[in-house]
Amino acid sequence: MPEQDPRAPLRDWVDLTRRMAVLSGQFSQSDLRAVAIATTPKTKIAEWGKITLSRYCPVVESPSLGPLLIVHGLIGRQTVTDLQPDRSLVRRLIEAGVDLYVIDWGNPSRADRCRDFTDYADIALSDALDAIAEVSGARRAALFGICQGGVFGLCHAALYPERLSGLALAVTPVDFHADTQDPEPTHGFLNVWARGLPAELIDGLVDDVGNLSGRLTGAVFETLTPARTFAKYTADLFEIADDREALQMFLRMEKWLADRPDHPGAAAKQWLGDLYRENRLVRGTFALDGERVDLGRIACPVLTVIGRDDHIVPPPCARAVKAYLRNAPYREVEVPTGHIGVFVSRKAQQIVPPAVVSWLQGVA
Amino acid sequence: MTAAGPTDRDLLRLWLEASEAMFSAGGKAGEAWERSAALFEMWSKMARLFGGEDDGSGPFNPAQWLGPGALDGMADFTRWLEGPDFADLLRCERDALRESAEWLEWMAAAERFRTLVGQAWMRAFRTFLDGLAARETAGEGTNASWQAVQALWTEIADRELAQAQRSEAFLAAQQRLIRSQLALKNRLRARLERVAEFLGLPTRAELDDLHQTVHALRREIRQMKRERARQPDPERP
Repeated sequence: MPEQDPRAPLRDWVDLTRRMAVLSGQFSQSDLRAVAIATTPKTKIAEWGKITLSRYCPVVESPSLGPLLIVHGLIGRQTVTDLQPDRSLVRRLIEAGVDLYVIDWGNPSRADRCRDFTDYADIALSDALDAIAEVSGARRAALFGICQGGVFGLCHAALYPERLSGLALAVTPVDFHADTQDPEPTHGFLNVWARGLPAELIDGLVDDVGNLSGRLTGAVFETLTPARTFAKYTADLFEIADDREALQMFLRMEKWLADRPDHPGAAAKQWLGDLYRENRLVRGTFALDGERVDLGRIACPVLTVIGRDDHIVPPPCARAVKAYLRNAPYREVEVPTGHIGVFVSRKAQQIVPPAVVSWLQGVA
Repeated sequence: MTAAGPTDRDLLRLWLEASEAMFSAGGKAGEAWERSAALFEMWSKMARLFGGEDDGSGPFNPAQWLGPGALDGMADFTRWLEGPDFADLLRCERDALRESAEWLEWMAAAERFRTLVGQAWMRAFRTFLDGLAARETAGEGTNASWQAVQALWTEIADRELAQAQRSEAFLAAQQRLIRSQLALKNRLRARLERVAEFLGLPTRAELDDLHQTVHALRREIRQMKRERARQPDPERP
């Protein structure tokens, strides 16, 4: 049995107390409202109601890659791709010479509750791609879809096979029932939960407030790993008490997490009912305004970025896209992180931007 | 200490003194820990005895007497109490009675849900204690750092809770909770709509209709604009 130092617990306790004091001092000086995220300069080029399209200011003489449009889903916001200068997918891409655009869905209210997938995946993306073509002079653009934004991209590429030059999907669920192939028990609870909800309960849940409220989705994400959430505000914070940079990163993540827009009701019913519950995208029965989305019609090159430890979109759900592409060249990148880590972790910064740049170089 | 109260430095000193006192108690702290574990064991036995193992079906569980299941045998009585469902007779009174039943169902559903969640946390705590005991046996003992203890708790609790969340019982309880809450809210909403109509105020349903119309019109206008843009301009040569 190893010899135990009787004073070790006391030293540990004193160290913990010191860390608490340091944190208390740091937070008394910090103001979450003053924490800045998404600081890379960009210019608004078009606007449709609450939706805006912006172009990032190039940092190289003449961007030679792209145009590439970043499309986030309606849960969370696209600012996660530009959290801080040294952990910014956006910065890495424009430094590599990508002509980069981003769409912001704004803050949907109850007045937007009738907006469905047709409004986002068809109408809004068509308008955005037209505006990009006008500004850039390029006939076609590539799309970088994040999570649900990737599903918008898949729908668009399937409905208009000639329109995109390439489609990159980051942590995008495609087969919503493939979570059963993931052996990790903490992965895919969202899939289990939504699959078990009767259709009328999904409709009732959404109709109750008109939209799927951001607060509700935030609460659901927190309950996926409740002890982890608690540790985030205790042990993890004590751990980084002496690391000013890590504390700033923590505050930036908090700022991003706090900004959870409501998800328009009609689109939420399709997301939870048609896709999570009935898995219509891979069954070939998902339709936008009556037109069936056939993934086999996608003709542009497809890149999939997967988070190996993603508990929100289990890797088999994202990887499944390959099986449904008939005419599209396919490439896959796996990152040793979770869902959000794909964009913000230090490891991902070394993997994702170079992979996207290399893929874009092969996209016409 | 200043006239305005304790400063950060005072609090830090007090905290350090308290910590030292706790650790100098040594063996006594260990005994307290053992007593708390014994208390937990006794509590668990009581819960199993009175509340049932894990399905919340024991006779002492409030969910059993408050739920609609318990009212099954009283369906005739409830119908008699509500009276005949005539169009223009005692409608408000019947609605109020149904509201009460829905409120009871919501309370019962919440109770059942809380029971399941509480049981999952207790199982996590039990497994955590076992994990600590295993460390003691392996010689890592009470000298484990707070980081190690916290990591052990996080790992065990999240695994245990994930398992509980996937169980049929949990999913059914959660659905029942959502369903009962929606039923109650819809009942209250309908009542408020009636009041608003009576007072000539715009209702939620009217606003929702309006939004739906605007949405449909927007789509039509966009479609017309695009079709028009595709047609050749007769003014141009």
